[in-house]
Amino acid sequence: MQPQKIEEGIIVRPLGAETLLMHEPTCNVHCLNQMAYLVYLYSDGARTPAEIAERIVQENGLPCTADAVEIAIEQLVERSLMHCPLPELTPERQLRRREVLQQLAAMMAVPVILSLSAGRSSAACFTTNEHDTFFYPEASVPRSVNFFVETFDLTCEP
Amino acid sequence: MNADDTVQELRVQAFGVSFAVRFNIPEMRAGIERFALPPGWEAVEPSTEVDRLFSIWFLQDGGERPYRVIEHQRRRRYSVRNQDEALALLEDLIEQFQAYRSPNRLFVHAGAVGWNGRAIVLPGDSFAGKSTLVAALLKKGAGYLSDEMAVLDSEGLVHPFPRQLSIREEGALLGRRCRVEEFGGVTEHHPLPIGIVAFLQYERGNTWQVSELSPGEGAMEFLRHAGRPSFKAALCLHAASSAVSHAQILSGVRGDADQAADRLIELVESRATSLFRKAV
Repeated sequence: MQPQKIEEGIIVRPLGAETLLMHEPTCNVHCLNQMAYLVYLYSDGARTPAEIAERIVQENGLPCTADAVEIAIEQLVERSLMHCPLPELTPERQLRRREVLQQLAAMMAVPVILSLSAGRSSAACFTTNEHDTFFYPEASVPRSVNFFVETFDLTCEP
Repeated sequence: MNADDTVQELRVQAFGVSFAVRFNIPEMRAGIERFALPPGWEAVEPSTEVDRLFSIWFLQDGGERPYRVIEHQRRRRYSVRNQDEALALLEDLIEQFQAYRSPNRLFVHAGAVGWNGRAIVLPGDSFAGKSTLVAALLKKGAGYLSDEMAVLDSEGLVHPFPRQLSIREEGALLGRRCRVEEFGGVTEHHPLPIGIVAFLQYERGNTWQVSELSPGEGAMEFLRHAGRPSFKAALCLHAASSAVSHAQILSGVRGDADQAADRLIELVESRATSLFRKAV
């Protein structure tokens, strides 16, 4: 397993101890804590999870294991921020994962990613004539008025 | 109401977005200018090509819904009952389009006021109680920025968007228009850095129960309340992260608006003091 981060179309913005990543074409946003971001940063397609963990420990002084890196990788792959074939999640792996998470929680070293996808936000989507999709807070779609709406094919006629 | 055969037109721009509004009732011009056009609008030359065209038509034989509001490029036609509804709808549509198209501003669905050179920003959906809390803050001497849209630049500064406040009576859909002076407030004229961002939901009978969010969580919540079209993704990210980077970010529920306003003022003042101490 040699994870490769996806960089194309991703805008990175550090914010204190966290880092925001935005996928430009979809405007999906992710907030990575330090551990998750370091895994993303060091996943160059050449290192294994054990090597990434070692680098995190050496260069950043954070407690980290290959298991912790694998948990971060799963989350990153799920969010289309990383390429990496994942092994099947068997009951044994699930159990192991739970144990690892407990250990990481005790070390305050759980990789955490918060995500906001345009479709899951408090936003309503409507399509503009430019064939772009615009996500806008639902509440601002005109609901202050009781209206009847229809589409029309002719121009400009009431 | 006299529908005129002659179509009139307003052609304006604001925040880098231009649009035209056509109407067939001469008396409607004042209402459009006062209520539907965004704050800071400026007329442009009649020959200027605009980004979008809207119309309001009154139809003599329009039945129960004689007013038509039309978004031409989206080919949408809305039928409403009276002029107030037509203007409120037009205002919403223009605001949405402006939020989408404005090339250098991020529009966040939020109320905002200024206090001692810092902005207090209150993001929230409609019916979350933003305008009521903004009004309570104005009564205590805050400067008015907006009751509906916080307009941010790429540095995260909040620009004034001082449309008239819309105060809803309980159960009403359409708010009553109020001028800022009715609350003893004044309008801010300059962009302000953010001191506090508070994601508050009004719950009747409840008390102030908030927790603090990290800057990352705050930026995510900010973006949840903003339009973020892909062509200005970088601006959205930079504006939201800059806006929260030096702010205190709160999330939770509030009860009475007056008490919540006191808490917010107390917090923004103590924050200013601690920042001053740090600087010294």
